[in-house]
This record gives sequence, structure tokens and C-alpha cells, in this order.
Amino acid sequence: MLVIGAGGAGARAAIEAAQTGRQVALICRSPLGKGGLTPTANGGYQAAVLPGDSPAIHAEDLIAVGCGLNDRPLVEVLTGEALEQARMLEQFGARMNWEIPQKVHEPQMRYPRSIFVPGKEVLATLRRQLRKYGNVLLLEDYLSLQLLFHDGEVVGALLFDIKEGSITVCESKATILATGSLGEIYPLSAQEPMGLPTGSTGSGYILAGMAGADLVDMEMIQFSIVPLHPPLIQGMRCLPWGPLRNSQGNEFLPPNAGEYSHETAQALYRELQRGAVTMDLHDRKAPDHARHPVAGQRNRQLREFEVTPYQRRVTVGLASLFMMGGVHINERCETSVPGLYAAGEVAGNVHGARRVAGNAFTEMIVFGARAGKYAAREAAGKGRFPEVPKQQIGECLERLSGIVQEKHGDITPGELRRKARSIMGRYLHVIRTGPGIQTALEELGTLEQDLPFVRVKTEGGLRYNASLIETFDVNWLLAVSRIVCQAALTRQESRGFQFREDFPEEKEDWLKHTVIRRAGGEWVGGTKAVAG
Amino acid sequence: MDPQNNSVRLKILRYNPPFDENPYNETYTVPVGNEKMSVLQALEYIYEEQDDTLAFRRYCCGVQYCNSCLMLINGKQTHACLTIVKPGEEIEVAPVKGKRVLKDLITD
Repeated sequence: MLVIGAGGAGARAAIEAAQTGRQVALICRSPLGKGGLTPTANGGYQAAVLPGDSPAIHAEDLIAVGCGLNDRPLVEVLTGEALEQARMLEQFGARMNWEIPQKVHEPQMRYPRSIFVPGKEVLATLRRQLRKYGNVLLLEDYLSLQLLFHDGEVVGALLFDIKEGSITVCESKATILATGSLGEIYPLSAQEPMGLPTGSTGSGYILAGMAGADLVDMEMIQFSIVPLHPPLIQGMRCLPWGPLRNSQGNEFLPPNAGEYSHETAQALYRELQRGAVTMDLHDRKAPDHARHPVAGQRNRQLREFEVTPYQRRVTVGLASLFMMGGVHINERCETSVPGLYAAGEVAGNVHGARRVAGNAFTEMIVFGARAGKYAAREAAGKGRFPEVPKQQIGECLERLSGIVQEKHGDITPGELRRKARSIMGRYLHVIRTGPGIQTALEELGTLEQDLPFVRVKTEGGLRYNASLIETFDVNWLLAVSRIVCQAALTRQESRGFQFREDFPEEKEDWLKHTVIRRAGGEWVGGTKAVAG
Repeated sequence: MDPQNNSVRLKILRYNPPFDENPYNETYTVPVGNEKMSVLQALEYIYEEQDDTLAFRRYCCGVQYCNSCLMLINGKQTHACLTIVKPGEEIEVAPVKGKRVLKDLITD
């Protein structure tokens, strides 16, 4: 079995699969725990624990905030297994804080539900657990370039060994995608602490999409408030929920909408079009974060650097935070392609049009465990490895040699990345229009024409060649940007984090998923019913 | 330190086996404005603007957990994400000691 991605979802899936005795390869583009988004996360894990609350009430709350676009069976799995999986994590050795704060995290929630376990604690725990299994092969510093498929079934993946600069073919009876998000398609991302990339370039959506999997609600991207300036805290989730002021010094956020809501994001977006927005709390006392070890540690450090809003005025921006859409899954984490599973942020149809904060961790662990379980079951039922198509490997190698061969001209992957992000930031942010999205598609098309001419420096070999890795990433980033555009164009209404100025109302007949699917060599848009 | 100088110089120990016989130093100049910048951000600036052959782990967890940016800065092992560069400074950057260098600042 193959698990692609070793954040929380991938690592949890690998443990579950390893328990069944299957041979598992876990692919990680960095050393485990030294990359991706899980280590950056503060660590709210929501579950219905308090008296009076229940998984059913938790599910209703998530679906109400998700504007009905969530697949109910998936939400019921999430809320139904949240507590049992949190206890399992504790059994694995994670230090959890079960003291649930009395205040709800988001105003629309009927009960507070945040158990607390930082991302770094989750990963350290899962890594210790993984070490117990001799049947897990951990492939660190490997990038998955393409899924291999045969007779409509995923049968393995083509891997790039970043350390050696070489190609490896990995055969599998079942493959789990746990590749995370796409936040880096925007110029400012909460997925890039200090402005440094985390590899959140949308690779998993493209791997799945190219293998024929349905991608749903790819227009649904959550944005949130982060520091823009000073640069030392750019993109870091370190701001308190405090008053923001526009250039006239006035507050403008809608009252009671909540920190992570689309109403707040849209109000900030409109204000940012007019001028700078700042947070200045120097007349307030900074909280001590006694209950919150990660925030506490981070804020102590940032105070020492004198970059917090309690010390100086901080300029804020609106950053991509979370991808609600993604690879369509069912309760067993099966995608629409046999042999392929997905779990964690790369999967779609769980959070609908808006995610409630604290439920991404629950999703990661609950669905990570499920993907591991059901993929192992499928692998156990297969007698021998399916045939790996030689032709696909050949074609991929040909594309790769095209990427590394000597080029005339001097287009760098970084330049294409900057241009693509600027297009997405301009036309596909929280407020969109049909003509704007069309313009974005045209401008992305121009960049796509430059892709074959990107120059990769090969004089120093292909080992740890950052410009080569960035070239793979920019290919994914451009492809997934196009998909986001097409999905946003397909949904002719406004709902949650999709706001179309030309279709400003939520429409009942649009209570359905957008689907982007590969057909005839291009991405084609359609719709799909929401599972009730 | 020259107060008029608003840039920082980074002397980086580079080594790309087997292409390079021996490690060597290469010096880069990075403009620093009035705002604080970390060594990791300075390395990112070099990679993006000056030399995309420079190898380091381009990642920052922001919470002092991942340790992927541990390196020797002025001879001391520390987090590059939490070390501030000051205008006019010259700092020496090298991979952590006691580990095999895979490329430049990346160790086994």
C-alpha cells in the first residue's frame, strides 16, 4: 500500500494500515514532521464532549455553517468518531488538554468543543507510533509526481527522490492521497509562516484529477486575517481577534460574524481595496496564553522581537487558510477512481462552503484512520500486484527529461509562481466576477505557454535541486489555479466562501457540488448532488 | 557596524558533493529595510533573487518545533527562523556540525 503525504492524515492512515500487517510505503516530501501544515497548526480538535451536546448537534452546526454543501454522511462520520479517535490519539501517547474553554470558538456553534492538542504533538505522537511497525517503509524527501493507472484503477505512483535526483516506481494495491492543500496559489497565505513555502501547491488535486478522480467544490477556499507587515510575522496565525481599523481609523468588521466567516473576509477584502488595514493594541495587555502552549511560546518569541500588535501597529492582509473543496470521497474515503483513497485537507465534500475552526484536525485524524482501514481492506483482497503500465512511465520520463534539458531563455519557476499568485489574488480572491474569472483563465493560459521554457539549473546535478522541485510545484500550482477558476465560474451563485458579484444571491437550485473532471485532455466542469 | 549600511552580508559555507571537491564560502549581500528579518528569510531572498542553486530546507513551522532550519550561525547552532539579521552585519552560516552534509546547508 502507498500513502502519499505524511502530515497528520497520512501518518494516521499509515498506522491504521500497518496494524493490519500490510506492507505500507509512506511518502513524505520532507523529513517527517519537518514540512507541510500539520506542524504549524495551533491544535484545536473539536468533538461533542460537554453535557447536552451530541455528535448529531455537532453535525447540524457544521452543516449550517457549511451552507448545506457538506455531504451529511461524511459529517456524521466526522462528528460520530471524533471522540473515539481523540481517545485513540491519547492512547498513542499524545498529551491532550480536555479542559474545553467555556466560550464557543465561533459564534454560530451551540456548544464549545475544542479539545486541545498541538499539531507538533500530533505528529510527534504518530511518528513514535509509526516506529513500532517494521512493515512501514518511510520514504522521506520523496515527491510523488504522478499516479499510475491501469484499466481504470490506480496501481501505484511515480516518485522523485529529492536526495538522489532520481526516479522510482512504486507499485501498490491501494493508494491513499493525504497531500494537504493549495494555499500557495495566493500571494498571501496562512499556509506560509514568515512567507516561506510549505509545499502547499495543490499537487494532490492534480495527481487525483489526472487519474480521473472527481474534484468537487474547488472554488470553496477559506480566507482569514493574518499579519502582512512586519515581514517577520507575515502569514503567521498569531493575531488575536481584535479590532481592525481602516485608513480613516474606523472599525468596519460586521459585529458577531466571527473571525473565520466569509462575511468578515469580504468586509476586509473591500476595505483592503481602499487602503491599508491595521491592528493596534498597544494600550491593551497581552494575554499570557497559560492554557495554550503553542500560542504562548510563539507569542513570547514574537514579543521579544517587538512585532506583536500589543507593541506596535501591525498591517493586516487576507490570506488563504483552508481548502474546503477537493477530491470527492465517500464514507470509506474511496475516491471516484478504484484503488485511490483520499483523507485530510485534499479531500472535498466534508466542510461544504465554510469550515468551522477546529474541525480540520478532527477530519485529519478521523478520515486518516478510515482511509488506512478501508484501503488496507482492499489491498488484502488483491492477490497480486496489478500490472504497472510501462507506457505511462515512459511518457512521464519523457516529460521529465524535457523539464531538465538545456533551455534557451531565462524564465524561472519562481517568476511563473509569482505571476500566477498575483493573478489568483487579483481575480479569484473572496470577491469574484464572471468576467474577472475569464480574464484570470486567459492570463493563466499565457503562463502555461511559458511552462515548457522554464529553465532548471542542472550544472550542480539534480540532488536537492530546489529549482527543479519548484518547477514541479509551479506546474501543479498553475493547473490547480485553472481548476479553481473553472469551478468558480461553474457555480453561478454566492454561498459561503464563494461570492460572485454577478450572482450575489444564494440559490436553492445550486445546493449541489461543482465537479471538475479530466476529459479529452482538458478539465471539464459539471455538478454533482450533495449526499443527504 | 556601519549605521548607513542597510544591507547584511551572509557568508555561507557551500558544498555539493561530488561536484565540489571541498566546501567553500560564498558571500551574498541582502538588502534589509527598517524591519527585522530572520536568517531564514534572508536565505529565501538569496534563493529567490540571487542564486537558486543554494540548498537549504525552505520551510518554517513558525513554532520552534520542526528544527528543519537548525544551522550554525556565527559558530552557534541555532534556528535560522528565529535569528534576526541586523543592517550592516556580516554573519557566517554553515550546516550543523556532526552530520553528513548532503548539499550546502542540508544535512542527513
